[in-house]
Amino acid sequence: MNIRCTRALDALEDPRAFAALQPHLETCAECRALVEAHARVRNARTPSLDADAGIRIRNAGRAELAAAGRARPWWVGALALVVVMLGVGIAGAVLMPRENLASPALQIVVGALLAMAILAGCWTALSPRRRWTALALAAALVSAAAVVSGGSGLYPAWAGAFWEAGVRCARAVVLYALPSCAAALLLQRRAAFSPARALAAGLAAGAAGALALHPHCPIGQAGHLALFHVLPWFAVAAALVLFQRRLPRRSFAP
Amino acid sequence: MMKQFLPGWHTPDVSPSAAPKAGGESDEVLMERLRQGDVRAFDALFERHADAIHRFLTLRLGDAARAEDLTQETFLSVIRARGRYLVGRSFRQWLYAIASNAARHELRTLRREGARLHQLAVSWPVAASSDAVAERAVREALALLTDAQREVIVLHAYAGMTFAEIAEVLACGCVAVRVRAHRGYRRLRELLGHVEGKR
Repeated sequence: MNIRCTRALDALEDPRAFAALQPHLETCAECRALVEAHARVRNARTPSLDADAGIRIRNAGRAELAAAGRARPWWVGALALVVVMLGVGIAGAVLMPRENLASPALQIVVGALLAMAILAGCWTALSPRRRWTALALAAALVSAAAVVSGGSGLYPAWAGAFWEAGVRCARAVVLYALPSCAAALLLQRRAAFSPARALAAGLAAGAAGALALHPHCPIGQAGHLALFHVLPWFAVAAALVLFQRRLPRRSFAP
Repeated sequence: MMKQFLPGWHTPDVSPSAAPKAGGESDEVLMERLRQGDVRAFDALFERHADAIHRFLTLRLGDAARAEDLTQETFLSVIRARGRYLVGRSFRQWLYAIASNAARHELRTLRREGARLHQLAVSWPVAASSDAVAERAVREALALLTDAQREVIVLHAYAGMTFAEIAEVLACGCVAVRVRAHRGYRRLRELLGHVEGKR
């Protein structure tokens, strides 16, 4: 493919550029083929919408509009999701016994980063704009790193065996993430499936689980935190993406 | 206005339909009114775009009956998700983004059920015209493209969108759109030659 071929593609959008390209088209078979294929699709005739079907669809739309209340901006849903996820995370963190052996200041920093990850995830999960996705992913990665590196480094003997205690923690992360996942699924059905948005919602839900668990867990070793706090959190996010992919949507709006 | 060749058969209306019709309001103003629940605004938008969306979906899916169902889904989505419409964004691009998403979802479901797109192409009624064979060749060739290529080509050639607009509609990069279009057109030309050579 030479550069003229790319210009032929551009020229399809501009009648003047297309006229200027005519000499090239006479000599370049590839460009001629491209232009011809474009013309064939451009001039394809398709059946128009049946009049009865048009009336039926219009009436369905009118009925939907009559039944729907006033349109709420997308950020109302995002705020509701933030309230649910932060509510679950903070309630878990406050109500369960606090046994984390790290300094309170360090726990607050990790908690604040997890709350930021929840905020960024919820916003991205429901925003019609695409530009927040990287922010949500970065917030989740930074807070995950903080969870792993912000532990006390201690493994008290009374906490139980490595796998036994670990499974308990992983289960807690997943259980605390479930209400957040349910809320995300409910709200995200109002838009088309987007892997990035589903991932953002899953990361926020997992962060809510990690936030609830963090002050409760007495084990501060990085291995435990990575394997049984962060891994289940990311597994929740992956599961939510896979589940959402198959979920029927109420709307296909971006 | 679209040019009608046969009763019920049209070539695409690629005029910039987001612009206000003579003496009418722009799509964006109508959408703003629809957000407030104005039924007449919905009627006006439906009147302007329903047929074009149906024809776009017919080309996209290769099935007029399914396209009818998805046209309904597209306009119901406009109502259900009107709170997600961003003021200042082109309504036409938003509408085509919804229709594209609906088509993608439908094709994913069909693939899951094991259906094949080129088998569906036969459900598109054949026009009683001397061009019917050529029309069928285009349909069959389109059906044999990859979904990503077909999506870009139908938006570009049929809906008359620029690559930048398509990138906005499909939420992907402009370069990716151009690459898909170039490969798609090349493949389409090969397939058209192959299909027509067999006849």
